[in-house]
Amino acid sequence: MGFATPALLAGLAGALIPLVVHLLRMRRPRPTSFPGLVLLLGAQRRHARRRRLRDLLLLVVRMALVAAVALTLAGPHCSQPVRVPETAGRDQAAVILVDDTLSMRYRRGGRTLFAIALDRVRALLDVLPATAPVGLVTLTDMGRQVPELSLDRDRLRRIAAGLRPTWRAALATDGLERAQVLLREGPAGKPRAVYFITDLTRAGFPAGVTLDPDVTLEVIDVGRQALPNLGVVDVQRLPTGGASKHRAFQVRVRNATDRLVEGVEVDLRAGGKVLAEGRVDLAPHTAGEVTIKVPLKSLSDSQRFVVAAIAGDSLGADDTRVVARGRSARVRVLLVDGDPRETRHDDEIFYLEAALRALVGDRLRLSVQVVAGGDLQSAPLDAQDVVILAHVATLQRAVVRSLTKFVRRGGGLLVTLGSQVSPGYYNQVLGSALLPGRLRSIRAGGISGVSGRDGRFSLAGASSALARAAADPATRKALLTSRVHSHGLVDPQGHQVLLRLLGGAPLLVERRIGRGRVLLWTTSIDRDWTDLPLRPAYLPMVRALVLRASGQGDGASTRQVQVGGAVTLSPAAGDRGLVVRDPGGRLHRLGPATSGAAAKTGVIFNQTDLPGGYQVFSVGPAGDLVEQVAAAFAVVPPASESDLRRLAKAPDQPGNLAAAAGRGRLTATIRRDLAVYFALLCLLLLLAESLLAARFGQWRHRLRTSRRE
Amino acid sequence: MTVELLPPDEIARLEGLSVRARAVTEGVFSGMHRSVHRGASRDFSDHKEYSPGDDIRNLDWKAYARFDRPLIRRYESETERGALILLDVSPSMDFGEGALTKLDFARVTAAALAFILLGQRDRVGLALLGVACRSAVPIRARGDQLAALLASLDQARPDTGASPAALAESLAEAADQAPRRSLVIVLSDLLDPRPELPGALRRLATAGREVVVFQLLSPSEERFPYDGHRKFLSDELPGVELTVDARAVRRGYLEALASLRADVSRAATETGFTFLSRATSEAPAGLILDWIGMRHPGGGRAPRPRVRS
Repeated sequence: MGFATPALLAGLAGALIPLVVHLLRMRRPRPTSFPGLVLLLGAQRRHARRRRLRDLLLLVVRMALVAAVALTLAGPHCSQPVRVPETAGRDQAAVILVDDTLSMRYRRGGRTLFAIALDRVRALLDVLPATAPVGLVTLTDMGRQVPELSLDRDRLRRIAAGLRPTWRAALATDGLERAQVLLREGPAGKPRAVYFITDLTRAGFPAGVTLDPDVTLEVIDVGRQALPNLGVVDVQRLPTGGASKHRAFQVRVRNATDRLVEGVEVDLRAGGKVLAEGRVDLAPHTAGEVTIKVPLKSLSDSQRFVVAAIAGDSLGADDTRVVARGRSARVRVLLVDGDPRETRHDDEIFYLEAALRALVGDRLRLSVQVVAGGDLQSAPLDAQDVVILAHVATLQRAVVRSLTKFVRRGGGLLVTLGSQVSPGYYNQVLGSALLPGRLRSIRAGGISGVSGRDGRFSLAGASSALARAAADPATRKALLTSRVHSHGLVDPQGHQVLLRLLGGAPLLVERRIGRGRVLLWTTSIDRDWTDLPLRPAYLPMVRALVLRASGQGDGASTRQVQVGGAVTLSPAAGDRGLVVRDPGGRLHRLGPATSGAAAKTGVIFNQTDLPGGYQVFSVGPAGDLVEQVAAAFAVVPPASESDLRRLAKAPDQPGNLAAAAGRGRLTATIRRDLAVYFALLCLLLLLAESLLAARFGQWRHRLRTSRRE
Repeated sequence: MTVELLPPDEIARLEGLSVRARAVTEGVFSGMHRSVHRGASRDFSDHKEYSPGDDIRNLDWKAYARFDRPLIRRYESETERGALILLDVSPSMDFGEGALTKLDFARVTAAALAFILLGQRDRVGLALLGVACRSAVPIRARGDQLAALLASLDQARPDTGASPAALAESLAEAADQAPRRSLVIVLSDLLDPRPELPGALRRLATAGREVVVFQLLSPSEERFPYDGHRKFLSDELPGVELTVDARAVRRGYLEALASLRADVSRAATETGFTFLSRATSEAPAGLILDWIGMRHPGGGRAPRPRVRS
């Protein structure tokens, strides 16, 4: 510690004044004759110890007070060593690059590595000369930064204080490249340096970093030693059978430590309640999986997300991971039988109805109602989610109006063809209002059907839901070997073709109308024009068709996106927009789909900086919010950030950051002014003196007296 | 109504104990004439000649008409009896601010009491409480008794050998010597914190004796007005010094004094003796009037005397 005006330290001698006064008083007591001495002796015995202590304290406080005043006036200061490179004290142009990736949330000694990094930033700003222009950037390029070289230290300190760690991963090369760009724009003639403050974990660091030859890289390692960690790196919902009373989730846990960890407890939680538990043994630096089954009865309909969690450790950011629970879709289907037959298996909807009945319970809450084509006018469409017109030859105009209204409100219409359907009639009656495209003709091949490979199914360019329906190899094989003998030739007229035949003819075309959609299946739904109903692929295909028509995708959304990633959301043409509620409860409003293209391709939502469950709502014409249950998605932290293995030192390898970290000595010093602390000490001592002197005793006495009264 | 009584400073200006005692007695009689006191007992005993200070309301008008001289009716409780005045002459009594020490104040008060008691034909004696209880004047009602009492009181000097502990012992001896059914008046500062003191007073108040204890303290003993660093000394405790910050021990001392008074008061309540504590800055006549007022509670108290400045 040093002093700006050491001469004023002579005032320390004043600390002896209270002692001298005290001793003088002790030496010359006034003799007083007092007959009540015998009473006084008793009182003195009771109070002597307390009084002596108080007097001693008072003496010490008074001496300290005089000394503190003298020290304050002398201008005390100290030189404090800070853990930044000593080269920071030279004049230069510098960029401070702060690692703000998820791993910097690691806690050590009650503080995050990021908080330590901010200390280093502050220290650098203190040590760097006032003439040195400085830029401040973050590795993820998130948050407020100083993207130019600035001499305004206050601004730099203010912005540094506002920096927060993100939940993202990032490449060190990207951040260093941005830092170099800043330096290139800096003043010429000054040495240039990048101060990279990082935990030096291996993830995100490529093998080598190339910098301009005249740029010095100083790595300030805030990790400094091994960072043991366990983290949940993936959660997936597994498919279960239709009759299953459980949901199954596969949880992947990484052991980023040097030791075997046995019996790691993994919980699945929803709404703060533990639903099920599992355990997994993890070898050092490996990941292990555990499958946990959750009874369906323990999940309520209102719970959109399931959280996989392990016991908290130093990096809490990856100790939980959210997955959309994938709830069963509820679909009410009205089958309109356009070609009823007395012989059951000849009936148009025989295979379709059988398939739908079989699907009940397989992650679908399905209800099926059948009407004949002629009875459609009296059927209650409001109570349906999907209407399937199976080979319906004629439709009254009133029925078409009802169907149009039904679709605009969000219903799904699936139209299948057959020999009785006239393309011209359909174009005339359904065309402009409902039909996805224009039917040109029926392509029939007689007994042989559509020739050769043209009649085969193609999955190229198929929509994701339909492709997933054929994800099982057996189903895929069955679908690809199915044949279509006859089909309608349709001109999509810009509507989306979801499935084609191998020859390129559209097999399934979709048109969005209002909040609903119309699907045109260009062949028959029974075995008249295709052998698909006889094949194992028929069931998943019907399921995909019904769910697509109902607007619920694959019926069990487990959509996940990494923090910072984008999600495509699908607003309906009639909607006034979408609202996304993030895990923090914040609402993000997305504008309405103003163009047809936006309605088809969806809108991009990329404000996914916070991990957790995101709910999606559509804004109805009246401004009402309707939750799109199937659109809910989970945002998860990058799994790579759970691997906290440190970058190995390789001194011989040019550009190795770990080597750079050990190169410079972190021995810079800054001068701290201590006068304000001493002034504060003076105030405290003054307060203590006041309390110890007469006031305290009198107050206490008055207080007791008033209580007695 | 207020009565002007001579304050200690003015009493001190008077020469001789006899004069001082008479001045105090006049104050007492003046106070009594204005009181509403009627006497505790209503059982007629006999007549006596009227003398100044007698309550005019006790004048027997029928007897006056018959014998053509004023006669005062006397009641059972006012008949002559033995009275013993115990005067504390320990060194602590030789202390006080102003003109009168505690011992001076006690002497004047004792002389005034002797005047009053002998005036109503009581037999009065005197004993001094020092190292031991020493009888100075036996209890008698002779014509020269007052002169003997005044002479003994005048010659009473502090007993330098007495310690605070001696007071309780000498009181115990007085209890052995005092006659049964007599009036015993104690004039002392009672500066003895030991539990033996209330015990000795309790013992004194047995055998049908009526005991009155006057505690006399100087104003500085009452209030402890000292401050600063002081060395306290006492003649009663030779060789003992207490060097202390006076303000620091003030509260403790006052608590000890209050405790001492509380112990004596408790003994007084339990045993039935009268205890009055006064500062020597107050008029001695006021002390006597307060006692008389307390002695006859049925008739109410005499008006509170006002000290004439």
